[in-house]
Amino acid sequence: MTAALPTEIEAAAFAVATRGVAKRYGRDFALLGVDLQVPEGAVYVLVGPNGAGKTTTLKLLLGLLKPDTGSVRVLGMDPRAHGPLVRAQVGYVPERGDWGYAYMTVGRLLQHHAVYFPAWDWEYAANLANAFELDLTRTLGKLSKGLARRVHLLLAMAHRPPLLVLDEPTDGLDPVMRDETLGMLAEHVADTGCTVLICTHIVHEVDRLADHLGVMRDGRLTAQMPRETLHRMLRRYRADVPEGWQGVPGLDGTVIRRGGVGREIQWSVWGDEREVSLRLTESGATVRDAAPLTLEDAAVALLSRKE
Amino acid sequence: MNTTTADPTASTFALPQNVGLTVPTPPPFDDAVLEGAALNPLPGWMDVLREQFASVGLALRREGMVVGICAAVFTAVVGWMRLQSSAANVPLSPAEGIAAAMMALLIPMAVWKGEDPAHRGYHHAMPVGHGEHAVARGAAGLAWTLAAVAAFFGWMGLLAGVTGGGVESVPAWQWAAPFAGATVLYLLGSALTLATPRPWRWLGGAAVGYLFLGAFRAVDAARPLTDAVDAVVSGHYGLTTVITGLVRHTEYMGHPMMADVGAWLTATILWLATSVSLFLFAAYRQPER
Repeated sequence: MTAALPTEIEAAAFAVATRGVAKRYGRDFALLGVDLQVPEGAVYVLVGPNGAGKTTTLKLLLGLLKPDTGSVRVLGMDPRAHGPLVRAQVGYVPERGDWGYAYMTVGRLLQHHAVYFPAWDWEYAANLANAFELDLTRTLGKLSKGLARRVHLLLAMAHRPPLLVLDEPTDGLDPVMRDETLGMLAEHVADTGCTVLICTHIVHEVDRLADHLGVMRDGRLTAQMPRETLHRMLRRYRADVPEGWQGVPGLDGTVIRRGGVGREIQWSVWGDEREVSLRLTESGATVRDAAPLTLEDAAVALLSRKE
Repeated sequence: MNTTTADPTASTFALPQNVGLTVPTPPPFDDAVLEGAALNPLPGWMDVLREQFASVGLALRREGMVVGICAAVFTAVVGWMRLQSSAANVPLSPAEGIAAAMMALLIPMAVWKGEDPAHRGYHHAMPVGHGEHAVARGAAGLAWTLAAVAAFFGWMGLLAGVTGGGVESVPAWQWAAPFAGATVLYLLGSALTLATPRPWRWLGGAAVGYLFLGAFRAVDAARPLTDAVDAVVSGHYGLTTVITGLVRHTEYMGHPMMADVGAWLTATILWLATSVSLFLFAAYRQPER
């Protein structure tokens, strides 16, 4: 059995595609040969620990940074050649909470933003402001982190862009507002059919939205796949093993995560369920169940995988 | 060794020796925009300029209020002195523009507050070219600066009229000098603000350095440096000439500073060319974190 995790996604068209992108700051590499593929209409969640290169990747997509090597395409356009046109198609929520003109009121910032995005929908913006419980007369610099986050989400969504790029979109939101925000995001996606690329290291918060997962570690995209593939191929096997059990020859490379107590093992294994179960059984283990992982457990397993 | 490619023809970085990584040059994409994708339009340039003018006005509001309060206090002091003595008056001359020009040097920091080069995220995320957008904001700030200089002279003229201080009789062109000086200093301040994360430190350091240099004027070894600094600040084509239109004529002992339109024009052209070049260089430079 091979342990290769998928790094290519099959799709008719990609809203975002990078090829061999590398970026470094001084002597340190932030990205190294990243081939990101976000299918058109997908909600792609890019997970990774802090410093993995997620934010750098997003900035490259918007033309805020230049890659040292490699190609980037957003809606078929190169952000370096068509930066303004690319940014006009993107609703961007940055990682920073203090982003924007802190001296403006929320209402004035919306007016400012609307000038730059002629597709701005004021009626939709008003609905979002109501839903986010935003006081338009308050000064942006005096808002809490959570309120500022809601303003940023409103700015990103109200011109109904074909691509939403959200960097830690739920950061600073309380649980109730997080739930409502994600619900509105789901409605927005269903309504507009836009593509969403979400960077986060808190996967369970976006579980209900995601249909694709990308795993980034140390500047490399180590895996990316549709959720259905993840659901089908990555499972946690619970099995009883006999005394002196030697393991499963040929399965070593496919085991993403090992766990268990005593004679019960709990392994997260990448592979066809029937084949993995067969190998386990042939080795003397008694497979009790093989359950798919939640998105967060899958992300944790893939992120903690030893190379 | 950790290697990502086996292609011996791949282009490589000059990597630190302890990294040992090779990055391949990937094949190019087919440059085809997604078929059927309806693209959102770009903003109109006039709309952007108008909005930048308005937003810079908002950015300067607090500083404008501080200056307004200072002007009100000064007016009150002049009024009180006028009540005490009819001889107390405020004359108006183009040389007063030095204060306005110095103010112009600081205005860019208020225009770009919260947006140092490394954090200019919101400004850069707009669907406008980064360089052009920085120039648009800089131009909006310049318009407000020149309006502030005009308001300053209007206010000083009002004080001169009310107190009977009178207006100094000078050639008409000399009234343009403070505006030229403010433009030059604003552009230099803008270049500094756009190019460096902490312009306050640079300006403060320059001011302290200038004062410190004064202590060494009598030292022969420091003469080349003090002469060079004096040439820039108060030389024949120095900043003082641009701001006031006055040039030091040592041959006229009784009137060392005299209006000289030729020297002013030459100095203004030189300093405008320098400051515009530095501003454009800073605006089109794309600092990255």
